[in-house]
Amino acid sequence: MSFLYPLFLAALPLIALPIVIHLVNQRRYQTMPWGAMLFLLAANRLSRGLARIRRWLILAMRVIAVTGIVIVLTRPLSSGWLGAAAGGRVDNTIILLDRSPSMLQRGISGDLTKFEAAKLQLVRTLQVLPKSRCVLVDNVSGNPLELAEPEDLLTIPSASPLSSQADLPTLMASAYQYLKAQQNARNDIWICSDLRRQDWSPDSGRWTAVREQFAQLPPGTRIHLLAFPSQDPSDARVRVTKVAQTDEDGQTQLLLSAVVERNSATAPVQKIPLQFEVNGARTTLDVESAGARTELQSHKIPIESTQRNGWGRVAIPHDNNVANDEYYFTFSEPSPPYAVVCAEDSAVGEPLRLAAEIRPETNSKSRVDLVAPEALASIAWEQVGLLIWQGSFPQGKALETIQLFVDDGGSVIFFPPHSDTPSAAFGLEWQGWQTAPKGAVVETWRSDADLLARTQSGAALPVGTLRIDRFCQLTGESTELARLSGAKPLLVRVPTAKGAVYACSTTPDPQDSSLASDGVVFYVMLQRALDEGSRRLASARQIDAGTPWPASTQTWRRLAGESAAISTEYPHHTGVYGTGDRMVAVNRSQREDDTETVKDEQLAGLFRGLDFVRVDERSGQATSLVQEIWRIFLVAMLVSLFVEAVLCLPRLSSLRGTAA
Amino acid sequence: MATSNWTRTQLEPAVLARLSAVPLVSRRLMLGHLSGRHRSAHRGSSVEFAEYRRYVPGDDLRRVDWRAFGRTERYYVKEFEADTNLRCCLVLDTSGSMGFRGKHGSKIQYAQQMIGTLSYLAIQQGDAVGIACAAEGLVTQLPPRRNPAHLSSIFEVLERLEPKGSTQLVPVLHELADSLRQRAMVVVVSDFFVDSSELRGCFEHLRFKKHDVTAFQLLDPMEIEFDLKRPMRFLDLEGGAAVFADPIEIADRYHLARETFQRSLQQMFLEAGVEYHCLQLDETYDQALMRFLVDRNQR
Repeated sequence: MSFLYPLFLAALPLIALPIVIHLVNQRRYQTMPWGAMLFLLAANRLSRGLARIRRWLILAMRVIAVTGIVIVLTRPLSSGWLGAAAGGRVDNTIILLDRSPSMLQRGISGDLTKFEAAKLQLVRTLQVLPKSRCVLVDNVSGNPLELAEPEDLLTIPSASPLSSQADLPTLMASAYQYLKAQQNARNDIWICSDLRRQDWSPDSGRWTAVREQFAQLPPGTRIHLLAFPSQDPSDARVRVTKVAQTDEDGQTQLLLSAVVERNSATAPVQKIPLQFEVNGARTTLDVESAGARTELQSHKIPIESTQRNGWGRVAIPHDNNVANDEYYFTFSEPSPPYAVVCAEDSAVGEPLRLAAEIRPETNSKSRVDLVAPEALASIAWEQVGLLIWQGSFPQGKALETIQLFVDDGGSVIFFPPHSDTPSAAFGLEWQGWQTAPKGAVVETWRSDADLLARTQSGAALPVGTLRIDRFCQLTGESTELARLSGAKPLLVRVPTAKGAVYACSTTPDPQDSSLASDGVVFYVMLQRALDEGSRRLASARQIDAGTPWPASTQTWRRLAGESAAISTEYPHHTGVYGTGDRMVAVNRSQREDDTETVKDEQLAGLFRGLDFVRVDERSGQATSLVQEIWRIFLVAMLVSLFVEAVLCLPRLSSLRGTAA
Repeated sequence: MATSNWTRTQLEPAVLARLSAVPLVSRRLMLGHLSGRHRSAHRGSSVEFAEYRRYVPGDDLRRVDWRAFGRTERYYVKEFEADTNLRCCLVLDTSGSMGFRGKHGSKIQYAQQMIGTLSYLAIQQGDAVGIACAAEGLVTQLPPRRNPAHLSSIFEVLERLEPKGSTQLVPVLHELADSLRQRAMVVVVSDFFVDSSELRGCFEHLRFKKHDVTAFQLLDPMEIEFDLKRPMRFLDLEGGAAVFADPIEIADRYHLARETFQRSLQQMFLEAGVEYHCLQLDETYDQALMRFLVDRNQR
């Protein structure tokens, strides 16, 4: 039990007051010398047991009454959150909300989702506790947002559910930065989460930093975790795994592959009506689901032959978690690949352009633009599949632009500059030219995958016939795709999370290599890089919620999905968004469907050394975590006073005797 | 505790004169050496015929009833009652409980007044009077004497009395029963706050010695009614531990305990052949004594 006004506990010694009065009263009893002690002792002996109990009861009732008054004044709180308000007033209350889709699972009561229950419980708790500065750390931006009142948590968009994962280590780090800036001693951090492993990343090294940072804060910062670890074994979820547009016998069709997953592997066989919605037209297909995973392969949905693109939705009947009961997708005809060539030497740039422009398909051409480095900002990067860069590694703004492009899935191939000036980017560095007097040959190359892989027919590319006269020394962490004799790299790939970054240590200039004259390898290399980068080029795309968009979201409009989402948070909300003729389907990530939670001991380890309290909430009720229970003590006090009064009443027989 | 402040001057001549009109008589035969107004266990020469007895050689021929011989031709001797003096032993309980003082005064003062008056009456009619004061033992004892000067000694004893200590009446009465060699009238004045079963032995002992035993139990009305209105700390006058009690709460049980005790005490005296008088202090001592004397004379 904790108290809102613990200072009143100083009045607890008043509990001794009835005892003191009792003792003083005993002293104040009139003393009477008595001779007939024989009778008195006999009478007293007969009544001693009951009378003593009665006296003690009266004394106990008085003590309880005084205790009740004191405790009522302290405004006691009842909760499992021991110490929630033990120190009384706090300066800052930081709220970290796990807004991930898994928090939308309904609780046992079925009325509220975990997210709603968490917010309501938190608001009601904060209403009970003494007022303090209430700050919500935004999941999207990571910025602290001060709330005028705790009730604002129920209305502001920054406290609405998202379709993206939460990143608890980042939220904790943001909370730390805020508290560090505030420099207040007494802080409460309230975390509401369902402990999904993907949201907590318990193996991340960032937790060590978080722990160390919080340990540096002045003592008085308490971390409260309101955990909702329960899972609904009957929960089912749907996901579209593949969308393709085909023409068969003059009929344009969508081929949809989808997966229905259930939490329980032992779930009984069940017919699940899969609802497909394509451009507003709905069809339903009953799928017999057995076990944990049911796959639907290439389900055909006819569409208008004139329709070049569109969006759709696959849904299953709503269960306890509606956030994973639908999945959006988009489709479109593939658009011509678009490559940008940025070369300092036009003699090199031209063969690059030519090699990128001519497509293997007949009557098909790629769009290739030759641009100067300073014109990079004007390029519509969301349409570009490949950037071919010849020259020193880009720096500054240009590098940032290219980095964003790569992060968005684009491909980049770097060719060396003509100068010997060292330059570095993406962990690679040009270190000056070397000449191979007799012409170097490619000693080894990767033929199983990537740019130099064998053809579909299984034939190897003629990489070994290439002659390299000059090459620029290349260092840095990378994966070699082709190596010259003398262990010099010819073609490397930089490991990246998304997109592809390649570097070729020579140019197609005839003085440098036979890349242009023996053009097969060079052509295939560029076309494969362009194909890889162009996968993101399709005007319709599926992206995971939370993935940053390349262009500003202000130019996008919502076509379908959650109407509550604000434009700045579109990338975090399930739905279909469009700009121009491009469409993007945003859905929860694959990892979000992972139901594994952080283990208890692992969680305890994350907060080891910190003032941390955890409460598991399963009911799904919106009751406050802490409740004022002074009424109970008031009632106890009144009852004790009443009992005391009854015990103090003279006995009826005595009254009769007096009356007589 | 201080003395009871009783002095012989508190004896009221008017009361003494009134009580003197009724002689103090014994209910039993006395064995005195002197002639008096009490019947002796021996046959004597008083005017009161007792019985006829067959003549045996050696009997005084002057006592032979010749008229009876003329009628029956047998020799009978005529016997008469003998009168003798009384030996009176007054036993006063001087334990602490006798110091209880109600609105009618203390029990010890009442007892002193009674003992003083009885002593005066006995001496005045020529009987021997002694006194024994009992508390935690035999505090003071004066053997019975009929000398008028002895009255002064008794009064001195009474004036020096100080009620204190616990009641050890039982051993004292046993001791008296052993020490009194001749039949006597034993008057015990006490509150008898002793277990009646313990008292039975000593009174039966006195009766076994053929003493004429009378017990006066003194009780203050407050001790009987126990009509106190608020919790009190009762201080034991005999030195025991103080007791906190709420009289209202325990009144019923107090009365029950008192009545039970009184019944058992009365039964015990009845069975032991002891004349028992329960006196409340709101009754004047002269009334109580007059009733006692008259009652004796009427038997």
